[in-house]
Parts: sequence; C-alpha cells; structure tokens
Amino acid sequence: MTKSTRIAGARRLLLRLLAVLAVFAVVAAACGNDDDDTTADAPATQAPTAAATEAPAPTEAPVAEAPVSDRCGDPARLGNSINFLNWADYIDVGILEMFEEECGVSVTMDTHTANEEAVAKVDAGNSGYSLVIVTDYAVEIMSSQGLLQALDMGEIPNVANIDPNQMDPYYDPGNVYSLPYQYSTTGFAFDATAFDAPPTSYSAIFDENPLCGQSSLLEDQREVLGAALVYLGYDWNETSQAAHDEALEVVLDARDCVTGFDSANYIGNLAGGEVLAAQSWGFAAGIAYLTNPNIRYIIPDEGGTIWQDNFVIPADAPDPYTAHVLINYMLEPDIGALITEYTIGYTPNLLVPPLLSDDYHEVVSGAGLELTDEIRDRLVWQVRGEEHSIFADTWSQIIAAG
Amino acid sequence: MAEHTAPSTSPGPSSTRAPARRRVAPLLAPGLLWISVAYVVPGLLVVVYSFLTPKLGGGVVWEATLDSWDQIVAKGRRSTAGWGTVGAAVLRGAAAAAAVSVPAVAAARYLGRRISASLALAALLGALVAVNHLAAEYNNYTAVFARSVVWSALATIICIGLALPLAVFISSRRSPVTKNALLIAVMIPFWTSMLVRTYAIRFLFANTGPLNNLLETLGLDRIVFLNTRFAVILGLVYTALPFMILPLYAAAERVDRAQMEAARDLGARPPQVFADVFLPMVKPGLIVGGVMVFVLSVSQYLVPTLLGGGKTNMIANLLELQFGEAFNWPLGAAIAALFSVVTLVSLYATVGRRDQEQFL
Repeated sequence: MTKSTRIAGARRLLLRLLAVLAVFAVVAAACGNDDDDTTADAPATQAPTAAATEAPAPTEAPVAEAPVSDRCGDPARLGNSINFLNWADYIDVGILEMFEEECGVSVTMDTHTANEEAVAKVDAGNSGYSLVIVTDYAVEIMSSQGLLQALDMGEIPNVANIDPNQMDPYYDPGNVYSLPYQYSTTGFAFDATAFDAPPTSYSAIFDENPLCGQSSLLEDQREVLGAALVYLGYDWNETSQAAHDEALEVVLDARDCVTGFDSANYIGNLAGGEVLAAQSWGFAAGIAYLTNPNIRYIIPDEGGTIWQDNFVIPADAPDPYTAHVLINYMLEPDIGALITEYTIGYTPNLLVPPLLSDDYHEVVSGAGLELTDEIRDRLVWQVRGEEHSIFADTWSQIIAAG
Repeated sequence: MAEHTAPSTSPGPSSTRAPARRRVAPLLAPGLLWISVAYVVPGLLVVVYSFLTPKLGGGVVWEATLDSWDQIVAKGRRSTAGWGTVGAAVLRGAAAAAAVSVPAVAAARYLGRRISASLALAALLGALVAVNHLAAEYNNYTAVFARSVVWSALATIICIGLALPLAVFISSRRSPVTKNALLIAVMIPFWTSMLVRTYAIRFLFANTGPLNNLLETLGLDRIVFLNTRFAVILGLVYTALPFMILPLYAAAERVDRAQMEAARDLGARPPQVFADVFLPMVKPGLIVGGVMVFVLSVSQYLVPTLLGGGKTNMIANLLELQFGEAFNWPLGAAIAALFSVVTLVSLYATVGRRDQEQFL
C-alpha cells in the first residue's frame, strides 16, 4: 500500500491540470502566440516520496481476527466501526485504511466545510459521530452547550507527545474536552515576483494596494474585519462600534480593489496567477507553493491569527472508547507525520518534526511558513462570544454594499 | 394588452364534477401530505423562529423576542435614510414613469390601442422604481432585497429576449428530427451539475482564462469580468435560460399560424400581428417561463457566490451569513420570511391573478 502525501498528490494533480490547460491554451491561442507556455514543462515529474517513516506492516491476518497491534487499545472494548466528522480534505484517507488494517475498525469519514456546519450536525442530536474535528472557538461553543464529553486521558497515553505550547488553550482550559489535531495561522500570501520588496503590512491590501484587481481577502467576517482592526491599531477582537465603523470604511475601500472575498478558490488562484496576493491561511499558502514556488507567506507586522483544529467527542457519541483509541492512534508519531505531510499545517506532536520529509521542510522554508517565536508573539486567537455579534452586523454592511 | 378569449376552462356541469372530485381525493392525498410536510411546516417554522432568541453556535433559544424584526424594520435603518430618500425615490419613480410613457404611448398609438393602458404600465413601473430606491437606501437587508429583485427581473427580461426567437425558430422547424435535435441541445446543460457549469464559466472568464488570453493575443486589453454585476447577471441568465425556452417552445408549438396569416391578409402590420395575435397566444408560456426564471434567479446562491466573489451579493448570501458564521438564525428566519413576502408581492404585481387563470 503506497501512501500518497499531499505533496506528491498535488504535483500529480498539477500535471494533469496543466495537460488540460495546455489543450485550452492551444485552442485559445489559435493565433499562434505562445507567450507563457514555459510553465507547461517546468515541474518535472517527481516521484511520490514515501512517507518519512515506513508505515507499519499491514497484518496479513483477516480483519475479523483480533487486532495484533498494541496501538489499538483493549480489543474487548474496541468497536467494529466508527463515524468520523472532519474538515474536507484534511487527512490522507490512507491513514484511515491503515487504522482499519491495523486495528480492525472501519472508519467512515464525513466532511464539513465550516465549523458552523459541524456544530449544527452535532447539536441536532443523534449525529452518529464518535469523533469530530473542529476549530478552537467551536470547541468552546460546543462545550458550553453540553455537546461534548470530557476526554479520558488515561485512554490516550500519547497525550504526552503533545507540545505544551498547544495545550491548555483559551477555548478549553485544562484540555477537558479537546486535544489538538493540527494548527496553523492566518496571514498574507503573495507572489514574490509581483513585489519589489516583500510586503510587511496589511497596507499592501488595504490603503496602498499595488495589485488592484489581482488580490483577494478571505470570505470570513472575523479574519477580514480583524485584519482591518489591527491595521487601524485596534485589537483583533475589538467590539466597539467606533472601531467597527472605521474598519468598515477600510474594508469598503479595499473592496473596490480586491477581486473578491474568497476562501474557497484562492489557493488555486494564487497557484495559477489569477491573484498575486491574498489574505491566506498558512497551510493554504503551502499548498499554493507546491504549484507556484514563488508564493511566499508572511504574518504582517500588525499581526495575524493562530488557530487550532481539535479532536472532540460528542456527548452522544455511540462509541467513545473507539474514538479515544483513534485519537491516540493519530497522535502516534508516524501517523502524525503522515497527517502533517498532507495538511501542510503545523503539528502539535513533539515527536513528529524529526519524521517529516525533506519535501515538507522544503515547502515550509521555501514558502516562509516557519513559525518562529518572534512570529508567535504577533499572533492572536480569535475569540467568539455573544458580544462579537457586532462582526456580523458590520459584515452585513459589506454584503449589502454590492 | 388586447382582450382575447382565453382557452376554454369553463367548468362542465357541476353535477358531473363533484363526484369526480371525490374520486380523485385519495390520489391527491400523498401530494398534499408532501406539500404540507415539506413546504408548509418548514415555512411556518421559519416564521416562528424569527420571533425567537439566537443561540451562540447556531439554533435558537425558545424565548420570544421581537429583536430580529426590530433589527430589520427599525434598528438597522441607515442614518442616511430619511425624508430626503423618500423625495429622491419619488423623483426617480416619476422620471422613470415619464421616460417609459413616451415610447409606451407611441407604441399604443401605432398599434391602435387605448393610451390609458400604456400610462398605467408606465405608472406601475415608476412605482416599482420608487419602491426599489427606497428599499436600496433604507437598510442593509432591504438593499440586498432590492438588488436581488432587480437583477432577477433583468435576468427574466434578458431570458425572454433570448428565448422567444429561439422558441419560435425551433417550433417552426418542419422536420421532427431537427426539432428534437434542437430541443436536446437546449436540454443538454441540464445533464451537467450546475456547480460544474458555474465553475466552467469562472474558468472561461477568469483574468488569466482562455477568453482573456484570446483578447491578449488579439492585441486587446484584458477585461475584468469575474466578480462584477455583469458576471452575476450573465450567470443568472445562463442558468435559467432553458427554463424560459422550454415553456415558450411549448406555447409557440401551439400557435395557430393560420390566424397570423389571416391577420396579415386583413392588413395588419407585422408589429401588430406580433403584439395582437402572436403574443396573446404565447402568453401562458411567457408567464410560466417568467415565473420560473424569476423565482430561480432571486434565490440563487451559487452564481453570486462563485461569479460575484463575495463582492456582489444576493439574498442567499445574506441568509448564509446569518445561518452560518453570524450564528443568528432568528434574524436569518426573519429575512427569509420577509423575502418570501417580497417575492410573492413581486410575482403578484407582475403576473397577477387574472393572468394565472389562463394557464391553470
């Protein structure tokens, strides 16, 4: 069984895309001009690199037999199957197959594309999910509404592997309900060839946007307004009306210059040159870098956000024990490495970094994704409470404006 | 519009109808049940939710409040909206009515009709323009309503303009093979997911897409097309066009060409034949197609999202914000309820009861 990391997968996808694009290019440029055909043969076929560590040898025994691996918890209590709700495109599905082979538990994964969606599914009750992955603030909302059950750390010995920096977060003090899965940041990604000097401030997209018509902001009220607020010198989580009035002006001005508010397509747009600068999630800049090595990522001087996705177990989970085992499994160093190679996020697992491949390190250093202490100091968590409904009010004015 | 006799829908003798009705009642039951479960109950739930308290994380707390309606009706009012806005609305409406009345009256004269109907039409249009201006200036929600209605109306008009000649052309083909081939060509887009088709438009018209590449190779300037109003309206037309062509084709199929020839023989000029003979005969198709295109367009989510890029938003984007990130379901429910009323009123104002009877 060969594991495909995202790095290898993205390259293969790119080649296929380029082939399709080449056909279109031929049709479109029927007049005979081949100006930028150079891209077509640039990325040489790179063999999919095997994961840094060898996957544990799959057991030859039929699935029905008791698991042999010591990473599967107590076979007597382990279920046969589990339903898992994760962000779309956020894990190499090969990992779930490995878990099935190793432990005999078949994992059915559903995906969501917004925390709100995941919260709504669990809130509706009887969702059938025993394991869910949601972002920081959603953990707080879910736990405050009694939708989560406390984790039994006794069943998750690999909790010892987790970076203390990523533990005890604001949204779940003492990690009662959640454990970190991956984390990343929100900052600014750009094509280095489009700037004489790399930008260091949000002014590159707000006041003095040199790339009018070729830049984009996220479609996210908190990220966009937060960036405008810190640009104006306020706190990222500021809720005063006066500050929001100013931030609204900044965003409405920028609105004329950005191609759009886009969280869904900007990675491809950056990679393909459709936009040259974009407010971006860190891991997304890494993915764009795989296609376009000119992509760089920065946290502007004014600051950016840090966020973390987490394992949580719904209060009405059908099989909490198996969920604990699966969490522990994904906190194994070799599995953690496979996950991070795929997401291009940051791993909270201290044993993972030495196992990450050269390809991963190449992306992180090439795109400028290293998370130094100096950068960490500029990052804030986004807090969502009742008082933050003002962000929606301000944002609806932006929606109404066009 | 000229008076004309509607196709006979007059009921038969009532004595034979009543038992027939009783006999079909069991057949209607599943449909009625479906409608009540799938439409009426959720519809009522939307109204109920609009009076409840929002819950962080989505959903509602079962505590009654008028907050959502207050937000839409009073609190959300823009500081700039005042009597000046009303004045501007009246002026705009009057200007629009005046502008339209000139060609409308000229057309009525030419077709030998009474002028009062044309003036009434101009007045209606003026009133719509005034209401629309008020809505656009009143607050964030009504502004999005106004925009959605205007864009959908534009899309409907463009669809009629594109579909009418096509429908007549297809229906006038002699060979059934040609007819079927053309109809299938109209239907083919239905076979592809709308998401895929919308992405295809994005790709085609992107700044670095084939169309702009072609413009550049021809030595022309690239055009920013995506994320503009033009792109959104084009997307609306593109998605809804088959829904206009098919009913119009069905109506044009049934047009009695002998009547048109007779009118011409009796000295009617081509525009008169079109307005007095042809149009009344295809009117049911126009109404069905118009309603379908308008209703589909006004609730579009994909097109404004993918082709508008979050910059040119319609009502569905506003709803998505409230039900998603904003965690304000009651406000979303209130917007949805109010918008249902707006849609019904728009449809009633343009289609009206009397017209509906013709195709029922």
